[in-house]
Amino acid sequence: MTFGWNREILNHVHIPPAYFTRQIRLRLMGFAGAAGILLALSLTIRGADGADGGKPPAQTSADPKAIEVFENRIRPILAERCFECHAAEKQKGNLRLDSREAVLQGGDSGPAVVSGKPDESLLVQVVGYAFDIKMPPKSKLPEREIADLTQWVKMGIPWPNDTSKGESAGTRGDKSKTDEITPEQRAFWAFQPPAEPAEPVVRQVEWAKSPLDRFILDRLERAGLAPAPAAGKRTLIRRATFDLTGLPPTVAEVDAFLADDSPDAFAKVIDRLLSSSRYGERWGRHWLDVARYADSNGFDENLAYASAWRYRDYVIDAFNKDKPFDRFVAEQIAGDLLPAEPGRPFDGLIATGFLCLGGKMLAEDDPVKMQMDIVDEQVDTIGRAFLGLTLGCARCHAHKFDPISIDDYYSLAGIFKSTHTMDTFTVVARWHERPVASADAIRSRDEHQIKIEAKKGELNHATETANQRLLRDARAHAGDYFLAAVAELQWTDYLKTARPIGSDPAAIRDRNAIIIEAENFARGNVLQVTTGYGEGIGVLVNKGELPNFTEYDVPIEETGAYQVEVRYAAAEARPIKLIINGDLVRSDAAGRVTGSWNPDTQTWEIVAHCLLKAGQNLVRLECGGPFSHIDKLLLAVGRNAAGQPLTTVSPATDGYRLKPEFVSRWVELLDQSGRDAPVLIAIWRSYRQTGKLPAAETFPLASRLTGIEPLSEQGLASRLAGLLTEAERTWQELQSAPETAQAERLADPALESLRGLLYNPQGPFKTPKSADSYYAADDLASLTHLRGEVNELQGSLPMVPEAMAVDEGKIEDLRVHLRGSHLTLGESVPRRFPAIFAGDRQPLDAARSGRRELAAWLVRPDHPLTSRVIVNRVWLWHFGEGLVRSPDNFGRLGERPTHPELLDWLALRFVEQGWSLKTLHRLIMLSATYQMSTTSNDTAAQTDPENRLWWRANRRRLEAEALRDGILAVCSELDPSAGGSMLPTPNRQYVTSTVSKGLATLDDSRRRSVYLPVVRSALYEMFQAFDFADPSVLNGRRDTTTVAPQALFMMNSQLVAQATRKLAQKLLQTQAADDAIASDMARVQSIYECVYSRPPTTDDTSRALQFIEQYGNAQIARQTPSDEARVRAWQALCRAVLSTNEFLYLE
Amino acid sequence: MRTRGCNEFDLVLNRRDWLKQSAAGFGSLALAGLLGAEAATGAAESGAPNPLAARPPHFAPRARRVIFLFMHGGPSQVDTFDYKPLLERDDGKPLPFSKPRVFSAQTGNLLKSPFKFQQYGQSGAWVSELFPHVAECVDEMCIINGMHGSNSRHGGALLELHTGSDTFVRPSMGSWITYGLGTENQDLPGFITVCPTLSHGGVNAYSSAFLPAVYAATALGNSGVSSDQAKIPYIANADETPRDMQRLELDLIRQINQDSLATTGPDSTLESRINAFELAFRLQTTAPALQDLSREPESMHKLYGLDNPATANFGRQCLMARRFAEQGVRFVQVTHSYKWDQHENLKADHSRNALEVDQPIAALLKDLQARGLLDDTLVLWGGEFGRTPVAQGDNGRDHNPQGYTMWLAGGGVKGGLVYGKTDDYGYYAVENKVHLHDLHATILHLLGLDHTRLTYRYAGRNFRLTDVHGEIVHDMIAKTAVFKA
Repeated sequence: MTFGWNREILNHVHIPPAYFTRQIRLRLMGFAGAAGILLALSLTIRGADGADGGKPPAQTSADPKAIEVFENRIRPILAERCFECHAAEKQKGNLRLDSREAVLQGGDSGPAVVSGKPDESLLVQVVGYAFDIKMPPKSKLPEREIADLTQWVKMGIPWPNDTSKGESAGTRGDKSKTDEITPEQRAFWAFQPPAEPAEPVVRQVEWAKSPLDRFILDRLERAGLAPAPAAGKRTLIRRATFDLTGLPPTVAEVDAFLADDSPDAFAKVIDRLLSSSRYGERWGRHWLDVARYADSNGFDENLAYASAWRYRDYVIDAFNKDKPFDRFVAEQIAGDLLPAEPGRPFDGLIATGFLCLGGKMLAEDDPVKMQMDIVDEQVDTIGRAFLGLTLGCARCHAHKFDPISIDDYYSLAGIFKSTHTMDTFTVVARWHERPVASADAIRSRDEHQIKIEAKKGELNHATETANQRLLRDARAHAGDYFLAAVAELQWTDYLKTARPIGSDPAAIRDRNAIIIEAENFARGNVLQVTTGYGEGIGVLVNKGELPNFTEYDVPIEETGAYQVEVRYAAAEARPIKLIINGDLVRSDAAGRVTGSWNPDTQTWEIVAHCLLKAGQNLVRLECGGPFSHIDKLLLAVGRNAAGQPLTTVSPATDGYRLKPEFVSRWVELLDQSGRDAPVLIAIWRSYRQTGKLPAAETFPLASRLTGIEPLSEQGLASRLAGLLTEAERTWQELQSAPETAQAERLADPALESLRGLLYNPQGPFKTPKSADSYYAADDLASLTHLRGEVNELQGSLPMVPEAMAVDEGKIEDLRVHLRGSHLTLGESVPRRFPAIFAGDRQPLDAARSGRRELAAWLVRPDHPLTSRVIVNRVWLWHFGEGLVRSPDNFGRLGERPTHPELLDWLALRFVEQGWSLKTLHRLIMLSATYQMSTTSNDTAAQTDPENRLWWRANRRRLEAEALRDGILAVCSELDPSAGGSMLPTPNRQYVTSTVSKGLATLDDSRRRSVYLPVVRSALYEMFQAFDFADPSVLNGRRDTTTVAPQALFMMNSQLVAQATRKLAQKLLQTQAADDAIASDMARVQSIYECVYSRPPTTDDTSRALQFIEQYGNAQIARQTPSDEARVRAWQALCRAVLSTNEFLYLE
Repeated sequence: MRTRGCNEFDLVLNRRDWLKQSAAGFGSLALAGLLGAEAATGAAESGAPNPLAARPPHFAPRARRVIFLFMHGGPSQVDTFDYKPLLERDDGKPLPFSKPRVFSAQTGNLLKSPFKFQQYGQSGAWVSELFPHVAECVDEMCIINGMHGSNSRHGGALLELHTGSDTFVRPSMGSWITYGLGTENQDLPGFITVCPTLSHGGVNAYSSAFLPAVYAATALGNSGVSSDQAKIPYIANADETPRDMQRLELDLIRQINQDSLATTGPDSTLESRINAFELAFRLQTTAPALQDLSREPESMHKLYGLDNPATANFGRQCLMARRFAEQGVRFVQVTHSYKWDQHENLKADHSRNALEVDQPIAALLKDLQARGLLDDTLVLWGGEFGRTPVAQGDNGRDHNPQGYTMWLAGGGVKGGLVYGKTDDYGYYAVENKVHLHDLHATILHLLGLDHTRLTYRYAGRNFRLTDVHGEIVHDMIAKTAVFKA
């Protein structure tokens, strides 16, 4: 073992943060000293465990070291390797290993362990695989685990008294679980409801504008520090405007504030900003960081969350309306179950999008794991977003630092297991969406849907009728089809040896062949090229109209079977359709690659064998794309190898045209080998192979074939064809006679075998997939009409908007998942809230998920965390740091509040004032604390470098959105339109592949950044560079890094280039004074006031003017026309001013 | 795999503490410059550290940097490096043991490899005909035939390979390594990924997650972009402003910034931002120059296959990786985009894929060796999982995280070693199994980092690349130290 047990223990004891920040001192104390403290600490905690008097001590030593060893090394082995067969579920060999007693008692083979004696312990022997019994049976444990178990047995199998961790199902006593929480844990500050603090008495009374300030000042005075001087009015309005709206103040707004001497001038500014709809866009975005908002799933299958924007707009609207925060929280957890607010019927539903927006592994192969991962994401997000608790830590084991047990976790998880978030868990899984429209609209959509279905039914019926007619007509010509197939096969045989005759002048003469120059078409849409391809070669070249086609009128002297040849050259395959007298004869004629487009590869090919009638025949060539280089066509009477004319099938006497698809199916059938072939085929093949008919005893059908004299292939074919037709005719007669209409078969077994073939749904008369070209004209017309109606109805289907939202699901309690795995389940736990808050007697309605109750519990006025957590977030978003500097973790490993009383005071005021965020903003922003300047002073900087006591305002960098929006705003380029979706991708479609296409680019769009789509795994580069919140995880506090790509964005991006050019052009359009110099000075002033909210100093102005001159001259020296040089110089100035720290940082 | 508590701590100062100790808390990471040498200079007075400054490892390292050749889709072990004669013999027969509980598609009977295997080098390692060039380097490679992971889907498996978690968004191994060691060239990013895939989690494979953003990869292009178009975002000026013009602008910015510093008083953040502009200005020249492969001699172009359309794209990526490694970039990933997912067309598509990467990879190994860089550059090759020895359809294989091959080369690994085994057919890792967590632990170890000590506190607990798992595979590490740190 590389690590000793002691070391292992040290790794698992909790170091309180206070120690953590004093690590250097710890190091000075030396390793041993620190370990001593920690050990003592762990003893205290474990000592409290031992105070449980419900059971006799199971072992002499409750040595915390040993227990730690058990929990961290042994229990996992038992749970993962043994419990499947030896715990509550199963007791193979009557052995259980889930309690110390059970281990000592053993099973059929005796005690599993002799305490302290590994050599005599069965357990050690079986895991060593040195014994007949080998455990675990599937594979030997890793050496380390065997060593651990051996060591554990040697130590006397220490096992904690506390057996209620979930693993030891069934052994749990009836003691209340709340007893497991130690008094220390119970007393932790975050679990106490906020208490009304006494307002501190301070010396600098006049500085404090409100009680808030007294809490701050009190600490400063006690630390011997003084608050920084108040910020100037320009700084203040700039700070407040960016704070509340994410935009810079306009010059007019600054001027108005400067001109307002009234005592409530700043209050008026705050009110104005709070009532602007820009406020919601700014603060809504803060909340979206917490809600890990995104417009796509990210993760494995990055599908578009195309309705996510409704949640975003809901959040923005909630902030603008100052929706009470308790309602806001409740709606996000259970909005679908709450009575709607008047006039806002869908807010609640849309708000539950909060639960759905997380990134998911939609392609997880294990559906149970997928569901539990999604539930986990919900529980973890709710824990950190609203409670500031890392509940997710308890998925695998009791929370190591906070009093959250694994039971607590799965009791909460049960609430979300009982919530319908997903429609499916199969790859790729489908998340749930719900309509957000009036009942009328949904009804009208549903009714319309019913109409569509009805019309589709009508269409299906009509199609079925047309198909029946098609098949009936085809069966009536079964014999013709059979003959056609026979002829086709003969043709195929012929082709195996046949050679084209096109290049054989003797054969042409002999056969009296007709040769047609391809370019001499009667009708067509291609170019005729007769030069450049060799003498006598003219080819067909695409003119741009597709499909290419040519038609030839060919007079024929004598009806008969003809072979058709084509001469062509092709460097790529371009098969053509050959259509003769309206019948498609071949669909892939002349489709070979001859080698090139050039004449030297011109090649003759036999493309078809078909019946041509005496008189005019219409030959048509057609190709979906451009033609090959076709030079000539040839038609000649077909001859077989023996020089005999080939047979072909005469058209049906009633004018019926054979359908190629049925012909092909008959061909396939005739070509089919094997024992499963239908009788007819068997006979046919037998004759073809042996020249004889099979015995009549073998096939009844054969008896009907006698008397064909002389027996020939053609004769047999005709006879079989006749029998097919007869079978169908007999069947039709039988069906049409009332007394025999119910008959299920023909009496004559020979005919019945043929009828069976004709009516086999997978047989030669299988309904074609696309039969349009086969339908009778009237059938086709009515089908076309009906299809039109269906399309029209579908096109006019009213769209009902949908939102990502949850629903109640199948209500069920969850079993504890040992080590977080759904493969090792413990005991079922009832749905409830964490015991530390609510005890364990909290029956939830068996008929409901419990979300509504959870929401109500979270927003109880005396809830110790909900109000504190949000008040802290608001403070952080105003000041750059929270009163608790770990905004998402109020647990033991989080930071302690720097000003606990102030936090409580704010939380209490917040609840008292109806959970109004706008009231909270006023409270904070009207304080002297908020209005301090960033002015540093050496003493304070030495004493409190992190400004934990708030001796000055923090200098803050603009976030990505405020920077981008600010640049657009000062350049008058910002598009103020609000709301809606900018994601072009349809819902549930992949977005990653279209990142560079379709999506609005950050550089092109002029909308506020909050409305740009947030595509997980494809964030805008500028957002990434400026620390935009990673939308895959909850973010209570953004980083503010300073990296070179930020500079690259300012220097090189199209957005900054275009916006500053616009600004430069605008500046140059106005002539402020007659004097050119005065005009330029006015322009500089204008830039400074727009960008910095202050006028330039004399130095600023002269430096700017000097820059304009120098830059302009340099441009002119590069041959830039002077007007353009001027624009570029001013553009460069604007870009430089925008790139400075004074713009990027808020004082 | 050893299981440990997920809350574990170190009393020894970890990386984060090192950062924390020397500055005013977490916020001071803001002082960072991505390319922060000068940021550090500017911040020296206030004692703020540069988060990318090269830092000593926990102990003497065997490797100083990593090049990860990622084969997205999942190359088949039994068709590349894991020779299975019994699979050939029993082609078409049913698998004689059970398939995994969770799988991605229905599969049929055993399917032999359509590729011939042969032994190479002194070590006699088996390599299929897919990798004739790489095969020449087997004596430098440690072929890990007993790899296994936990997830049978691209998304989860890809995330697990890159971050150790198949479920949650966690820092990428490149981010952890850069966080642990900083980078050696302050004019370049410490972690570069060339043409990363955007699908199956995309950026999550190279994001810093909760680590400070300075440790995220700088992506050059993406898998949809040809490697000669792979650039640092905003590296080129939208209006093609000439350099000297831009210099004028930067001088003005600097003057205005210096002015406001005079008003605000010393502020290291503001100062480091001034420097960031200078660095960015230089980067505009250095980065494209580093990516300009025309500076490489003709012989290099030939070696990496830049003269062949089939190998040019990946060859450029490999050559860029060598140039970055040479310049001290800590972690370079090059991705052969989502091509190795042969549910069908195994023979044709694996042949094409291997053709595209074989020569460039061999070139990279030989080139690194010739420059003496292979000694302290760890090269890692592999996909997010392997493939089943049983057939999907008649000419394909399904995903298989149960047992597959990755290989390491250079950077202190034992060359000519074939480590671990799968069963007779190549389905499950059975001997000397190496889980992804173990691989991560070993990679960190080679870099001189103790995977249990490289931690970062987030959301209430200390996180690490290997979570609560990870065993260093000492048997894969060469006995003699190649260099002294």
